[in-house]
Formats: sequence, structure tokens, C-alpha cells
Amino acid sequence: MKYFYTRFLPAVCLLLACQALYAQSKVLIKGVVRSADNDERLIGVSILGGMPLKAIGVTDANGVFAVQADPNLQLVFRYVGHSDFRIKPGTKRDIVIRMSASENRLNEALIVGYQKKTRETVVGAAVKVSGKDLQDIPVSNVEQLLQGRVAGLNIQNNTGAPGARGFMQLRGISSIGITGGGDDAFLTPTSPLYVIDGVPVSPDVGFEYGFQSAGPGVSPTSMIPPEDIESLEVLKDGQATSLYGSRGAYGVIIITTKRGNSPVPVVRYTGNFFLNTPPKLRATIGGKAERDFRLAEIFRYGTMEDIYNISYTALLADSLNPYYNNSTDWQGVFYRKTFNQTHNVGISGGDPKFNYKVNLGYYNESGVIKNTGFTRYSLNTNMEYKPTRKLRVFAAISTSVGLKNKGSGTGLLQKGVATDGKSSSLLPPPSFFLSTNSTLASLNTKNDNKSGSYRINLDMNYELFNGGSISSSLAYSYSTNTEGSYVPSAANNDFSEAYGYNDRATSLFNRNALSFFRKAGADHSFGLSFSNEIQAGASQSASIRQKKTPNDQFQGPLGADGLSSRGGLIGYSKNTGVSFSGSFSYDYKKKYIFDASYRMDASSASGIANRYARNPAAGVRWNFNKENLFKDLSWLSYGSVRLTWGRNIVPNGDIFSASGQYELRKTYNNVPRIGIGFGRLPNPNLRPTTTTQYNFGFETGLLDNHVELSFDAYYKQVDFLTRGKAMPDMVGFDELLSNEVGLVNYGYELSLTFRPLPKNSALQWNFSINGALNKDVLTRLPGNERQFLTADNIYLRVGRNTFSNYLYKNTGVYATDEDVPLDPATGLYLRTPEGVPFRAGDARFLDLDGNYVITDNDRVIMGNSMPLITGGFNTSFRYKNYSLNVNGSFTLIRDVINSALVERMNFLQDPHKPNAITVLPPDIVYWQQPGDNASFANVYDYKRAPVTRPYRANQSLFQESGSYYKLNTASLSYSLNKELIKRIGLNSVRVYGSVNNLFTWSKYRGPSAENVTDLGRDRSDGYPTPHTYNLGLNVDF
Amino acid sequence: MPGNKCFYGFLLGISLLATAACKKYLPDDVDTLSEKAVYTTTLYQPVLGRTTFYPNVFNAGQSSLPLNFKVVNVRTREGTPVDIFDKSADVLVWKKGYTGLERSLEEIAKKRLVEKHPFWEIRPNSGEFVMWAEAMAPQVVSQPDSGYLFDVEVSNSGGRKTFRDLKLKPLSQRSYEPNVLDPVTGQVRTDSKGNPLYINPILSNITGDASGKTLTADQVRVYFTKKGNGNSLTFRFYDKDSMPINPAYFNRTVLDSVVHGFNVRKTGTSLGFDVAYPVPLIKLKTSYTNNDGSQAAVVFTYDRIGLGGIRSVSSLTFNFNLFEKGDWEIAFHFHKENPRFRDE
Repeated sequence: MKYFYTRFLPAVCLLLACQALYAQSKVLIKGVVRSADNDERLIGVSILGGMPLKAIGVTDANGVFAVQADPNLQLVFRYVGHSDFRIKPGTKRDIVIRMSASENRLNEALIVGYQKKTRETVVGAAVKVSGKDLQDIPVSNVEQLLQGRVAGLNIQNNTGAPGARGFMQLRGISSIGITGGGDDAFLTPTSPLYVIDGVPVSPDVGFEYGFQSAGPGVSPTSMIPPEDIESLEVLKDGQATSLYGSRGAYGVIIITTKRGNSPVPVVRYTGNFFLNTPPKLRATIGGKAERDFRLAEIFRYGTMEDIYNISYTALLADSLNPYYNNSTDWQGVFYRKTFNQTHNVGISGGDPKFNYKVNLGYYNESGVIKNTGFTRYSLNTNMEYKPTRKLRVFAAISTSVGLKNKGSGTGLLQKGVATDGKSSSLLPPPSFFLSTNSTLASLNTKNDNKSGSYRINLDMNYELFNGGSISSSLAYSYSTNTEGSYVPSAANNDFSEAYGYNDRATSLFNRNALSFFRKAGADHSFGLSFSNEIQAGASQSASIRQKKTPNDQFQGPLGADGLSSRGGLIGYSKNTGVSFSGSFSYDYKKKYIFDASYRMDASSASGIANRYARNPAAGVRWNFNKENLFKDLSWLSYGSVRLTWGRNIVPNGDIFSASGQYELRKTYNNVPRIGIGFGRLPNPNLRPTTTTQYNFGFETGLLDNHVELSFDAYYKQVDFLTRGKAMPDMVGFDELLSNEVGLVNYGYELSLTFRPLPKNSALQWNFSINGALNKDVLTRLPGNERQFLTADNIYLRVGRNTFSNYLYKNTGVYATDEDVPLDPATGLYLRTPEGVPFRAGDARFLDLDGNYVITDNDRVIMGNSMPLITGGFNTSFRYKNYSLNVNGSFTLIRDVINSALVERMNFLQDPHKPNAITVLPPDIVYWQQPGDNASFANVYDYKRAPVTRPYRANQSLFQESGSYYKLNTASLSYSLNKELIKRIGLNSVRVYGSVNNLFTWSKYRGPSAENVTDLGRDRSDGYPTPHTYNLGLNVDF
Repeated sequence: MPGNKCFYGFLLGISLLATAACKKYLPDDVDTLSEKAVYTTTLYQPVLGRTTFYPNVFNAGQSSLPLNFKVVNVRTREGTPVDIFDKSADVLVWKKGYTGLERSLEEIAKKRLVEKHPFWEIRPNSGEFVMWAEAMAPQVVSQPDSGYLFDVEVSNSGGRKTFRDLKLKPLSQRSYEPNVLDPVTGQVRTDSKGNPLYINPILSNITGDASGKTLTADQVRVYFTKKGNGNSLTFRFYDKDSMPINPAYFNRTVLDSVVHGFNVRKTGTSLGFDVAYPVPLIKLKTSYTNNDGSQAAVVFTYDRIGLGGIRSVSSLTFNFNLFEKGDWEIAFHFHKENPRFRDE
């Protein structure tokens, strides 16, 4: 004790005295705070100092600070979204601070239900992708770059058509609607809702009708320049999307565009110069080799009659005729390499009180198929004004114009090119007077397709009192698409044709909200908000088609009688909606968080009985790292558990499905007759489709955030999907639209991020990988049927994955005659329905019912056209001025029907026909003589093939694994030395090279496992996805 | 830290439990057995002594395939259970495909084997029936007996359904086709005047020797006679006096393609072959059958110098089946008038 008094007390006194001394030794420390990433000045950075820490200042509008502090004590700079920066000034009095963005996901700011929150308090499942990750790769549609970045967001870039969009699905299928049959079948698109700067935009516009959509086929998401995207956020579960109402049933993607935040105006130029090359095309046999090949096939397998027919087939016999003496590379006629460019200038500036941004973009891409391409001009601007602390005004105007050339195709499909690209090489290359109609059409059709999109929004926020604010936002958007095409007479059976299409759509959106926030004591906080929304939309589309114009030079104005001039209104819709919502949130020390919300949607399209769709949701979050139990764990940076429930209701049908329809019939005694439409029986009891989703989430950061993990398990149940139910003959109506279909998706999503190197090492390495496993189960069919055969070979069966294939099971080829099953009673071999017995060399199909006849009844339900696992990985390295980013994705366990291979096989079946003779993939072993163990029947025996049809498309032989791993993008950039740059008056210069769609690993035998329809059919007339090689430049003035 | 482990265990438990719960409440992947599935044929009247196959007798509707079929509860009309269809008996089945190109009886014999099968057999996945040739009286009763009733039980994983009271009414054995026997009584049928009916072949351009007119089919009668239990088939020809005609008169007959037989025995009165029974062996078009392969087709052809010095080709064609193994004789009787073989 004595010791205590004699030693310790004086020491304490001394220390206190020292502190007093220090307090007096404060000096002025000045400096500027910049962002380490882009060198921009940071405004409003808090500066803490002293012991204990307390705020001693903030940076001003120029990022400049000046504080009185003790140079020997640590100064801490703290800024939203950035890691704390600690420094002991020592002798320095003027310092430059570079703060790097925080790599702790917990501090991310997310927008959920129109409110900005930190991730720590968000109960729903949401993933944020920084706009920085979406730069450096020139694409027409920014969706392409999202592939493999968000667990559970399945993106298949299944078209390379410039300006079009691929297939996008969040957490499995939400609809069983299929339009079209066979390879043309496609799934009703259920893309997530886009919310661009607070304004909802539906991306499915213009794509409701699949491949054969009218209009220019420019996706609304293609109209956003990627350079202008600040961040992109994907809301996945029912709770996060509930406040977006019915339209958010398939998930929500929130796009925030860039804002100005630099007192010195920043002018940033981004330019890309890129080369698009078509992917590897089919190998074909050309010229004399092709003719010899055909003749050999005929002589070996043909009948006497076929051999006689050689003399009547000029293609084969008249080899000295210059018309047939060619070796044309038909694919070369249509496919090409293109050089393209994009330019984007962004001007931004301002401070928290007033800031502005203008972004001017130009994007030009010529398609790898000739006569196709996409050009976008965009001008986006926004400004934010905060005259007082209480009032905030945000206004944005964005306009863009897309020009698209789609040749003779529909944008997504290129049927003409696909057919002609497969012509015989013996035919002469196209010239204006010497070619097929469709070739000329592909190359000479004049297109003038424009898409314009204009969006204005105004957002105001006024703080009524501390913790209470009122906000209102108003948005108006207008989009118009026109298409004009002209086919010259030589390309259209001597009759030229003009086609015109126009549509326009307007939408008005208004949202008003009242929100309160109150803290009770230090620990409890409550939030409450109410809002209402009004939206009104209208669209109409019309087309005109005029055949037989006077000549090719006179292309308008046109007019003729009703026979050769067709057209009129082809689509019209008008609807209004109103909705009310309320949400409540509570948290205790940010440890336990509870959120609940309720939204009611009324739409003019929904039936009177079911006017309001109600969307309730609730969720809890437990940040368990704040518990005392875990507080001391140094390796646990954060950890939380989330549990949510949400229900989303989408009204079904339209006024006709509930009340029926009258139709205009032909005339009787010159009086037009009107009668009841007998197509569909009205169903007044149509219920809205209900999606209920449970989500369990777990997030943790370990070892000072060197490892971050996020895991979500979900169960999504979709009830009351609509589907036509066929009616018995005596009812008079063909079908009834019923909504008795149900399905369930459940699955897991995992994202892992590693930062293996220390935070302050010169080399920064970041690796993240994500994957999602989604299983879907069909739970109910109309009339409680257990199974249903739909378009061609798609089977719906309760208890199974929703879309199964219905195929003949092929188990190889009969090596010898004796391998063919023999009916013991009749003594006849297994045979076709026509009675032709199978023999050695024929395909071995499973005789499911054991009746020794291969009929349609022998097909087996198998396969799943939806991928089971999707995901991707991302890695980035940064070393001094260099940085390298690599992004990949994978799709695993999916069945694809290789229709492209079927078609190639079938081309070999008629040597007299002028089709391209393609070289078969090397791994195809076909049967040649008895005893051969092959998997394919003899492809060249074209006389036998039509009899037993060994190359029918609907067999398991062509159902292949559609799994693939893809290296999507890689970019390497170099920032030029700042000192050097400053001398020529620039702020920063960065050059980069990047590639897109670099490489795909797949066992799939077709051209591409990804470029297949959403139902897993490999059409050979799609638009190939090009490889892109890019050089880019980024200059800040 | 034990608490920690517990916690992670708890998380893992929740996710596993959630999965299990999901699966439990989802419907099972089971088959459909359509309510509209139906037997389209319910009365079966096979002729005993022939292998009769009934294809496409069941319409599965929208059922999931394959289905499983079972014959149950075979009984007489009165309801007395019958067990002879439950037992398996030796039947001759095809093991390798008959082509019509076999060169000896042994080669054909090798392609068939004796196996155990129930007489009235159902194909387990297609529901089609086979009545084997070995089913004969007295084990199996035939009409005019009222026959048998039986049920078929159809099942898959979606359920089971029993089709009741299908009728099996076999007809008595008739060893050959065509014949003039009544299917039920086995008596020779008669025409409206009470005259017995006869079997007639097809004649082409055969001239009557006495009248010089073309003979019609009813002027030739065909008789089937079983002479023993061997494996042979002999053709004989008789004139109007029932005297044998030398088969050699049919001078353009191609002996190799008369029937699929071996060891031709050609005498002054007959033409004999060793053949495998039944004739034809299966319904397959060969050079020995008619166009659809359903019957053996024998053609005896001759030529002569006709009127005006034109060569006249004449033929006698006969399509038939022989179901019972034995030493059979087929006799063609020109009972009204002899054919003219001489040149004009």
C-alpha cells in the first residue's frame, strides 16, 4: 500500500500534468482529404482527435480541413463507406490524406424500400455491385456484366444481338407460361423490376412476345450507359422487395446513377475502341470436296434412282457451269469482324449544397452479322440542391436514343442468315442479281429503327421537425420506338415491300411519403413511414405493311388498296394504379432489428372483386457480434442472422379474362355481325398470383474482414399462376383461364470474399466467389392433374422440376441384327409404327411399354432445362498504378437439347439438296459395319435414316449437359503517373485493355452452351455472342 | 469456445431442418393413372392352336408410362375359379429373327426355343394379350362353351385400377386357313341351298381341255389332309376323273419358291417338301408369302402355245396357312374339267 502512495500517485499526477501540458501544445494542422480510389476530394469527413476521441472538425466543400490538434496524438479521419484513417502528424503540419473505401460490407449503404440504410440494419437479402465493377468493358446492355456477380441472379447472355438482352431470372422460375412450340418455345419473361434513381422501369417491355416481338427490339436496359452507373443493387427476398409492390414480385434491381461531389468541376472522358469477332463457326466442306462428298454418299448408299437423279441435279452434275463451280464461304458472307467505339463524357461538380452531373454518351456497335448493329446516344443529367438543412431537391433528366439495324431478322433471331449461311458452297456468292431472296433480304433490307426514351424526375424532401420528414417524387417517362424497313423487289419475289412500325408508351409516377424517426433513450430507435404512389401508363403500337411499291427508288409516301396495304393498331393499353404502404422498423442498440411493412396495390387491370393486392412482409435481424458473448472475439469482425417473410401479390389477367369478349365477325347482308368470342370462357373468380418467400440469411466477416461470408437459404412459393384449362367440347368455349398452377423454388446462395494480403500491402488482392443452388418443384396443375404435355417435348409434372423434357431414350446403336429385341410371340423384330423392323446400325431406342413398337408412348420424362447451380467469381489485383480484374461465371447441371447438331445431321440426309455439308464434331463415332459399338447411327446412310429416324430431335442422344464455365471479362489498366499528367494539365489518365466473352469451357457439342433458349433448346438461328477485345482510355480533366 | 460451436451447430441445424421441411410438404413425384384409361377390346375370341397376338388393345390416356399389367381372377361364366391360365406351359417362342433365307429345318429350329409361358399371357407393360398355339382342347374350352371371364389389374406409382369382366371365348381349333368349317361347331358350312362349301384356289388363264373355255376358281377344289405327325407338306393334283396329274405339267413352276421347304420330293403324282410349321412361320413378307406376309402363297405355273401361236402362261395360285404340325397334303382337284396343257 505504501508502495502505491509513494510511486503510483505521483506518477498519475505527473501524467495529468503532462496532459495539461499537451493540451496547451495544440497546433494548427491543415490538409486535404482525397479518395484513394479516384483522387476526388472528400467533403464532410469527420476528424477526431484527442484522448478520448472527440470530433474536432470536418472537411469543407473542397475537402480541406484545418484543426487544432496535438501532433503527437493520433488523428482519426472517419467517412461513410471508408475505413478509418489514422495518422500521427508528428512534425507535419500540412498533410494529404487518401482514404480508401471500406471493405467492410456491413457499412455499405443500401436502398431498400426507397429508404437508404446501412447494411447493418437491413433485414432482407440484398447484394450491391459497385458501378466501378461494370466499367472498362463496352457492352450495349449493362445486364451482361452482371452475370456471375450476384448469387441467385441467373443471367444467360443467350443472344449476341447488339442492344438486345439475354435471359435473366432471380431465384428460379416464377411462371410456367410458354409461348411457341418446339425450338421456338420460350418462357414468359419474369425479369426483376428496375428502379432507376427511384423510378420503376420494367425491363420486359417489348419482350413479352419473345423472339417474334414487333418493334426494334431494343431493351430498356440497353439505354443506360454503364459509365453513368454509380451502383447497382439487387434485392432478392420477399421482405426487401415488398415495398415495391406487385411489380417487384420477381425481385428488384436498383440503379443509382452518378452524382456530382467535387467543388472543382470534374470532366471525365471515357473512350473504348473495341473489336468484335464472331465466335468459331461451323467447319464446312467446300468446293470440289463437297461435290465429291455428295457423290460418294449417293454411290455408296443411294438407290439406282438416286444415281440417275445425279444427272438431273445440276449442282452435282454440271460441275463446269460457273454457277455451280464455286467454293463460297457462306458464313463469311454474313459474319464479319467489326471495329466499334464508345465515347462518354461526364461533367460533374458541386458540394453537398448544390451539385450537378451531366453525362453524354455515345455507343456504337456493328453486329458481327452484316447489316445489324446498335447505336446509342444518351444524355443524362441530374442536380441536387439543398438550400437549407431541411430542404433537399433532386432533379434528373435522362434521354437516350437507340438506333438499331436488325437486317432481315427480328433482332433476336436471324432466320434468313441462318438459312443462307448453311447453303451449299457450290452456289455462287451473292450479288444483287444472282442470289436467293433471303440472302438479298439479309444483306439489303434497309432498316431504320429508332428507340427513344426520355425520363424526367423530381424528388423533394423536407424535414418537418427533427426526425420527421415529408418527401415527394414525380417522374414522367416517355418512350417511343419506330421501325421502318424496306425490302427491294429483287429480294422479295419481284415485289418490294415497305414496313413501318411505331409505338409509344408514357408513364407517370408519383410517390409521396411521410416518415418519422425517433430514438427513445440511447438504445431504442423507431422508424415509421407511410407513402402512397400513383402511376398511370399508356401505350399503343401500330404498324403498316405495304407490298408492291411502284419501284425500288420510290419508297414513299405510299398508299394503296386494302389488299396490298395492311396495317393498323396492333397493341393498345392504358392502366392506372394506386398504392398505399406503411412500414415500421425498430432496433435495439442496432443489435436486434425488426422490420414490418404492408403495401396495398390497386390496378385498373385487376378485377372488381379483387381490386387491392396486399403485400405484407416482416423480418428480423440479429447482429450477434454485438452480444457480450462474442464481443471479445478478435477474429470475428461482424456476424448477423436474418430471417424474413414476405408475400407479393400480382393481379392476373385483364378485363377480358374476367368478363369475356365480343368479336367482330364477317358481314351478313352487308351488316357487320358481333358475336361472343368462344376462345376463352370468362372467369370472374380469377385470383392474383401470390408469391410467398421465406429467407434465412447469415453474414459474417472474419479475421478483420479478410474473409467475408454471406449465406442465404430461401423458400419461394408461387401460387395461383394462370394457365388455360381445356374445356370439354359441349361447353362451346375452347378453354378457361384458370389459376391453379403452383410451384416452389428453394435453394441456397453463398458468397465468399477473401482478401488474403494485409490491408496496407502494396499489392492488393481481392477474390470473391458466389454460387447459388436453386431447385424448383411444380406443386399443382389445373384440375389437380398430375402431369401435362405442353409444347412439343416439354412435360409438366407435379413433384418434379417444372420443365422436364419428354424424349426417346437412346442407348446407342444396334451393333448387330441379333441385338434388336425380338417379339417371342410374333417373331418380329422391334419396329417403327409403320412396321419397318429395326436392324443393325439403327438407333437403339428404349421400348418403354414393351410392345416391340417404337411409338410416341415410349418417350421418357427426363432432364431439366433450368440450371441447378449458377454462380461466378471475381478477382482483382492492384499494384501501384496497375490493376487487373478478372470475372467469370458458371452454370452447372442443366440439360440442353442440341438442335443445332440435329440439323447438321439432317443436312447429310439429302445429298441432292444444296445445303452446307458440315464436318461432324470429332468425338462422334458412328456405326459403319455390324459389330461396331457406336453411339450414333450411320449419318451418311441417307436412305435408311428417314425410315427409322435415328436423328429425331426428341431423343436423349441430343440432350446434353449444358454446364459451362466461362471467363467473362478481364481487364488490365494502368494509371499514368500523376506528376507527369499534371504537367499537361490533366488530372488523371488511365489506359486499359479488356476482353469480353473470352473463353468457355464446356463439354457441350454444340456451338455454345450459353447461347440457347431459356428452355434449353439450341437454336441454330440465334445471334452468336461475339468475342470483344477492347482498348480504353479514361481521362479526367 | 463451446458456446460458439453450439451456435454454428444451431445455424446448420436450422438450414437442414428448413430443407427437410420443404421436401416434406412438397408433393411427391408420382405417376398418373388416368381415369380415362380403358381397354378398347373386351371380348377376345382367339382360335385355339394358333399363336394369336392382340396389339393395341389398351388406351392409356394421359397415364404415365410404363404401366404394370396383371391378369387376375380368371373364372368361368358361372364364377368358378379357373387355374389353367395361372400355370406356365411349354410353348415355342422365337429367339432369333426368321428371315425366310434359312437353308435347313435345323437352322429354323435353332431360332425357336421352348419356354414356359401361361397360355393366356398379358404383356406386363403394354397390356397386350397373347394366346399361345399350345393352348388347345381339352385343357382350354372353346365355343360353344361360354368361355372365361377375367380381370386386369393396372398399376403404376400413381395408383391402381382393375378392369373387370374381360371376356375370353376361344374358338375351337381349325388347323388350316382358308377353310369351310364353322368356327363354333366345327362342321362344314353349306350354302343357302344346303350344298357344302369348298375351298377354291385362284386360277389365272387356265383353259378347260374339253370346252376350251377358261376355267373358273369354283371348278377347282382344294383339300387339306393330315397324313402323319412329321414335318412335311405335299401337293397333289387330280383331274376330273380323280386321277393324279403329274406336277411336271406345271412346267414353269419355280420349285425353290413354292414354299419355304427343303428336300424337294418330286414324283409323277406329287410334289413334297420338308417344312417347318406353322406355315408361314411368321407374318413377314418373303418370297414364299403373299404381299403382306400373312399367308403362304404357292404358285404353279405352266406355259403352252396358245391360239395364234402366242405363248400362253397359266397359273394356279393358292394362299393358305397351316397351323398344326404334321405330314400335310394339299390336293387340287379339277373336278369339272381338266386343264389343257397341250399346245394349240
